[in-house]
Amino acid sequence: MHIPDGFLDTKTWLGMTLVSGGILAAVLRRIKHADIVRRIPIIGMTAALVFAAQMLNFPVAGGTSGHFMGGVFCCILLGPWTGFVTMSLVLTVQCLIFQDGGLTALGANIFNMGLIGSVGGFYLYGFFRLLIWGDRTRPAAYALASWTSIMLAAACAAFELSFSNTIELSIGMPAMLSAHAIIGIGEATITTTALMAIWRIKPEIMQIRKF
Amino acid sequence: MITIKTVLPFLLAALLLAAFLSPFASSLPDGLERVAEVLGFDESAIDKPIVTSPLPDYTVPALGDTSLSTLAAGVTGTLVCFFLPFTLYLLRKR
Repeated sequence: MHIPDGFLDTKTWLGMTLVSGGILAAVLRRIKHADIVRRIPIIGMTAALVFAAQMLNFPVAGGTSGHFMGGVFCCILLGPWTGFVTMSLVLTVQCLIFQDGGLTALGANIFNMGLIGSVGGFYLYGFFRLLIWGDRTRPAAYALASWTSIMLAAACAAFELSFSNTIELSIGMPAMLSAHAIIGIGEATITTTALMAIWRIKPEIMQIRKF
Repeated sequence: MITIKTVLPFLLAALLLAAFLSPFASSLPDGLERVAEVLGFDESAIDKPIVTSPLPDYTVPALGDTSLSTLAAGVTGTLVCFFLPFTLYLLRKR
């Protein structure tokens, strides 16, 4: 759901650029050298996996395709704020090198997918873990959190489109949510499978300190 | 201690996905594009980008719209994403 140039009006894209840029700057200032140095290989690995998996559009109903977003995947591996920075990195590479998502919409895309869909999804995971008890239900919490993260990101995009007078909220919101409810099932399947595979292959990657 | 060696299998997995599955990715419009089509605001997208990207739409312009082109773009992007955190870290340390 990378928003292209032209969907958002100036007040909206400028506002979202300032919000995302401000949060990114604040987060980067707080990340300490000692904390980051040992985690660079995992950050690179996560960014590479998210990028590659995002290229793989799968067909869903009604002539539509969807692709992995990876916000919850990223934040579970790295922690919410490192995950946010990593998602921002991937979105910036996609925008600048691959023309996926407009430059004016980059702030909005970082906000929707990097912040709400990722950091928001991460805390949803924590919430679902409290609701469904025990280690055995970890996959269920991954699935629920990643499905909801897609819905949250799609809802943010609908708000921005309506704020830009591109499409009314009463029309845009149900359209975005119904399209992404199906795509979210793909997201949940991929997130859960990938994270459980990493638990199995290299549990030490899942056990690093996260922030 | 997590080193490059620890994460190497996953980098390889990412490269394999980008190289061999991306040419088979669905080219149908994604969720947002489809909503824009159905609701009729897809016209407001600006086709001419504000900055020109070297690999637009995950293709290498010199290779045209071929599987090889997508493969090359996918592998490049995956490597850029893997090495960018190392590069940014080294730049900041100096």
